[in-house]
Amino acid sequence: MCEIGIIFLMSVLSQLSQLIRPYKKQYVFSILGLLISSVDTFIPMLISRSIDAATFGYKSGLPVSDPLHIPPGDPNFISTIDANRVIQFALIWTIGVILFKVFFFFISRYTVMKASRKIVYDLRNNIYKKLMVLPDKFFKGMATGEVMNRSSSDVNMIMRGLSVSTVQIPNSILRATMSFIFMFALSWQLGLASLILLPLVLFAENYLGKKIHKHYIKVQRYFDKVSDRIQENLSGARTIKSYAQENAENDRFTDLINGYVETVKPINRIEAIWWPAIGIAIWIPILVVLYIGGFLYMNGQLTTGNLAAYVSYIVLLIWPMIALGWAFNMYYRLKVSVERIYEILSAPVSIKSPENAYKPDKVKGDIELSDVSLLYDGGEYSIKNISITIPHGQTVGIVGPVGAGKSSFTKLLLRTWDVDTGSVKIDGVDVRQWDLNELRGNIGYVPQDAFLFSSSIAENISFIKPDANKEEILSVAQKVQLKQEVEDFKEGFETVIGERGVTLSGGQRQRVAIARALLANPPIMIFDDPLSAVDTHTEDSIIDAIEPTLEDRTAIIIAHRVSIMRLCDRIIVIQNGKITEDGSHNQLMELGGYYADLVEKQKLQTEIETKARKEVD
Amino acid sequence: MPSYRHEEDVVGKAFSWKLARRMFVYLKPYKWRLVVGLFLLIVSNSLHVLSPLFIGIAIDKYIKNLDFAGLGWIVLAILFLQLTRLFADFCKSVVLLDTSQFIMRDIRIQIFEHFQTLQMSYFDKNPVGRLMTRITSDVDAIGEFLSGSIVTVLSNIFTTLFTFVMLFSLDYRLAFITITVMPFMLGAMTVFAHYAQKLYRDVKIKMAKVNAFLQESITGVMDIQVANRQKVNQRMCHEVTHELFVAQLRSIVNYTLFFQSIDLLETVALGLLIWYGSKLILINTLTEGLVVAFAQYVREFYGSIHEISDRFNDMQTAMASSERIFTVLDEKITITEKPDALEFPGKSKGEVSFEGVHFAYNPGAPVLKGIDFEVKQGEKIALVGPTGAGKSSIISLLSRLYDIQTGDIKIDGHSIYDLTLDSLRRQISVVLQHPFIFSGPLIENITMLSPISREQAKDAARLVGAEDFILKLPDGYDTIMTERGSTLSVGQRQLLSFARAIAHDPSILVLDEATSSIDTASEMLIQEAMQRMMSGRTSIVIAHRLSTIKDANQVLVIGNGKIVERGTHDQLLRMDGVYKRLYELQFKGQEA
Repeated sequence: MCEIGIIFLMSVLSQLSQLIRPYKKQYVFSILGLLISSVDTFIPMLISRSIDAATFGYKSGLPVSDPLHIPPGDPNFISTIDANRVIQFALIWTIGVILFKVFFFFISRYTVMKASRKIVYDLRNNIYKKLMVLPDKFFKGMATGEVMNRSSSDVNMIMRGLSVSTVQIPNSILRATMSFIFMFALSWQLGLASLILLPLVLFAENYLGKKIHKHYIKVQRYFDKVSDRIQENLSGARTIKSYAQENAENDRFTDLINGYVETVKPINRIEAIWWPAIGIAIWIPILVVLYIGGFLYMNGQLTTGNLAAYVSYIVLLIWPMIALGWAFNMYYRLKVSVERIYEILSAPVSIKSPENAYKPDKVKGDIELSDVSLLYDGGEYSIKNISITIPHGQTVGIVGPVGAGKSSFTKLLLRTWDVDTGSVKIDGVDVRQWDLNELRGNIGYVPQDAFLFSSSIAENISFIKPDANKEEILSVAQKVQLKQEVEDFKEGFETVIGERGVTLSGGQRQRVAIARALLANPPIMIFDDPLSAVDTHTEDSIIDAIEPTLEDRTAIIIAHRVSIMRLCDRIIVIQNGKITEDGSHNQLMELGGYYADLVEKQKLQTEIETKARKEVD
Repeated sequence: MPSYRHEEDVVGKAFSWKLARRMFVYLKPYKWRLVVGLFLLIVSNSLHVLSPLFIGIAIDKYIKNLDFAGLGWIVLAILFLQLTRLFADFCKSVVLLDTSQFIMRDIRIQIFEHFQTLQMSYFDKNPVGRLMTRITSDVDAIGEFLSGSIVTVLSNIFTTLFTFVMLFSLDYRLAFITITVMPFMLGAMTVFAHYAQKLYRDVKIKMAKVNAFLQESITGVMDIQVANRQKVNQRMCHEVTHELFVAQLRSIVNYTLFFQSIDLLETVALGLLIWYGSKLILINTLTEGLVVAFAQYVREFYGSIHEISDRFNDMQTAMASSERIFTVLDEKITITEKPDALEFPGKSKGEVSFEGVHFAYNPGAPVLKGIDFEVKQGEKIALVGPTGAGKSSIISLLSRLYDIQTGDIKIDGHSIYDLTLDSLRRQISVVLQHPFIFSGPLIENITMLSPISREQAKDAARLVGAEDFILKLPDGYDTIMTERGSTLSVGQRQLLSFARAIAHDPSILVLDEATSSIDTASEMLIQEAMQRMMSGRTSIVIAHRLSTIKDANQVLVIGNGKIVERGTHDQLLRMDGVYKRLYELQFKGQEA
């Protein structure tokens, strides 16, 4: 078991070694420190010396201790003055040794803990750096919660594992070795006898550990059932209430949780046996040492001081043994965490700037898609063989049913996804040839649900350009008609938003997002459904905010509401991944297709609402 | 955007008597078990404390007197003593671990039952994941505290006390020498506890900050990439993780300093003991065995203090968890029955009336602004209108999932607010647009654990035409459904929820027609099923289909929380208002 454990440990460590390598010096230093600090295993020897000196010390020339046992003239007998000197010496040395130990142990531990926390700090930042370049595809394949778990809980697991492997294991091994050396030095017979401690502890840990592990899996499964039940109950609260099933649900949950308690009971039994088992593993060697030691004493091969030292050593040994067992158990969990983290760290970065990337001085904003197809996972087409040219300065509206492929345009232009066939060109250059930062820096993107973080409004606006000065921020805020409203807040642009601060209305959030995109003065703007999060009242204010931003720019507006289409020179309808209509508002109205229908429907909706509002007034 | 800092991350006080008193209530039912556990704990500890003394006796009385047989006996005696004490320890653990499981179970059941009585608006506001952690990990933290920390602390307190008594009854001179370092120890503990609490809190807060930042970054990762903000965000990541690093390091220094100073003091005490003991041996007023025994007592004594300090943080965690649990348990139930609520006598006729109903989910944002209508027994009323106009709210109010602000809702002339919730909801069956299918046997999705016989359930399935597909499933009515019925098609889920509604034989049927496209075959089945379900019952339907509207006794056009037009389909068409236009746009295709 031990060997497997060590091999296993090595395999995990080799995965960690990349991280550990920069801190090799600190590790070597702290292991040296540990080695020095294990001098305190010498203390029982001092105890032995002190007691023996006292026992064999002459008092007024007479042996005090055991005149029968030790024949006169034995070199063990010393004068009272000498005995006192030895006793004093033992005390001074004990205190000296422990001061020495505490000092080196502290330094060693501090060094290693600092290094291990630093490694974790590096790891967190490495993961973060990687997340910042991973493509959208990666995040579609791994849920936010999952990514979060890996970069948080799994990292914490590694932190614990590192502390254990770098402190507990070397410490345990060193101290155990030193103790055994001294024990053998005192008496090889007792040294051998006390070795039975090892198999006893290892057996207890291995046997019970395995048993607990097995039952633990069972309990975990049962608890998953309990969680599922709760989850379902909470998610289906509406249905349960509607059918007045609350009491039945309570009964069912009570039964389930009672079953859970029954499943846990065997684990409680094993856990209850754990400490007694360790207790037996300590006490059997102590008693064996006492018994054999007594025998050796009676044969004059051992002193009472030696016996005292032995009992101390066994008590000293037990903790390193237990800690070693725990450390091995920990490695099984550590391995899983390491693998999970490496899945992120080794994920391919499929979207990155090519070598000699295109970095233009000036961007005009011509967009050209030729024969573009984009597949989603599962092989379904999001868009299929689309070709379209948008000359610079044009404002294009895109409408179509949900899931028709409208937002694929955004993904392809910003290169968060790459085309499967065809090409997307800006100013005649394929976006895959562009420098990624240049490309994205030249496109002002207003997402559907703007990413506002918990910080001041000013900082939220300068999201793209963190070094923007106050004037720039005010000027874009003015442009989207946000300035007045924000200045009405108590702290103006320094007002913090989010859970701990002010809650912005949907319209205000949207305008912050527009201001943000505008700050870099990009030649291309993309609005992804800017009216989705606002009610009809605020629609107009958003449209008014967008209008002045369209000047001298190429702009794409994706929308469900047709009211905003009045800003567009050209409207494209996408259905099932294909362009079905393309033309100006008037042309499409004449055509009487999807767009005309949509306009009609929304007009009616507005009418119903207006009518209702009138009745209330 | 996710919230920046969840309530999970708020670190509670180290100890609060108020919380402890409330927790104490959960211990009461297990008074006797706890007494037995405590008794066993005391037995085990006191026996354990005797062992070093026996070793001392073994040395002094037998080894030194060369009594090998006597040594054998005392070794056996110690073995017996230890086995008895370990057995007592085992029994104690079994009793206490089980008890803590029972207590955890009780708390879990209480939270669960409380969830059942909470109103829908609470579930709208609190994500399921967050509520789940109250029943799962928060209760776990309390269990950990009850079965682990408290027992360890108590056990170590007893060990300390017994050892103390033992020290003084054996030899007061050595006892005094041993406890000379005690004042330093207490001083170190006070300083440590003071800093530990602050530093632990600090680490927790910094950790929460890192997690919140990560969560925000992962959620908005594409926005960050598209905005070319990777570098800035990486710098922010460095900042928050560095803060965490510093906080952790401080905490480590505090811990290491403390435990090393305990180690130092313990060894100094041991050194002093050996020194003074040796001196006493030398003048023949003490025996070696006693020194050996004392040396062990010193380790026990200071080891216990070490362990007590080690459990300090667990207490803080448990306190924070219990605080969160009590916040849930203290959540007020707003949808309640009147004390003299009326139990609906049997089955109602099914006459429904809304009288001047005003309703808002959140104050200041009215959803319904004066809704009046009346449905006679067995009639059908159809609600039409744009999304967000308030149609779904109307049907939620009838089952009292939410309470209205002004006005009244009546069934058979009784205000629904005068009825018991159970008897009110038993009159109504609701079919949602996206029916919720529970995992477990299919039949339970029809009976919903009500006292409905298997035959009745099957009749209902037959009536709505669900039996055809059910019998094709591997185990028919006993087929185990996966979570949310994911193995069934949308149409099958609809039919199953129809069967559920009909099996409960309601006098009022509330239907939210599905808008999602399903294949024509299922569409036909569903249409027919709906007709059969509604016959002879009062029904309120949010209609998306012409067939449903055409034979409705009344059609209400809802817009912006008001009824804008009302009448039969033909009347409304003749009115030439918004309904006519709506009809032309929406339903023309269907007629063909």
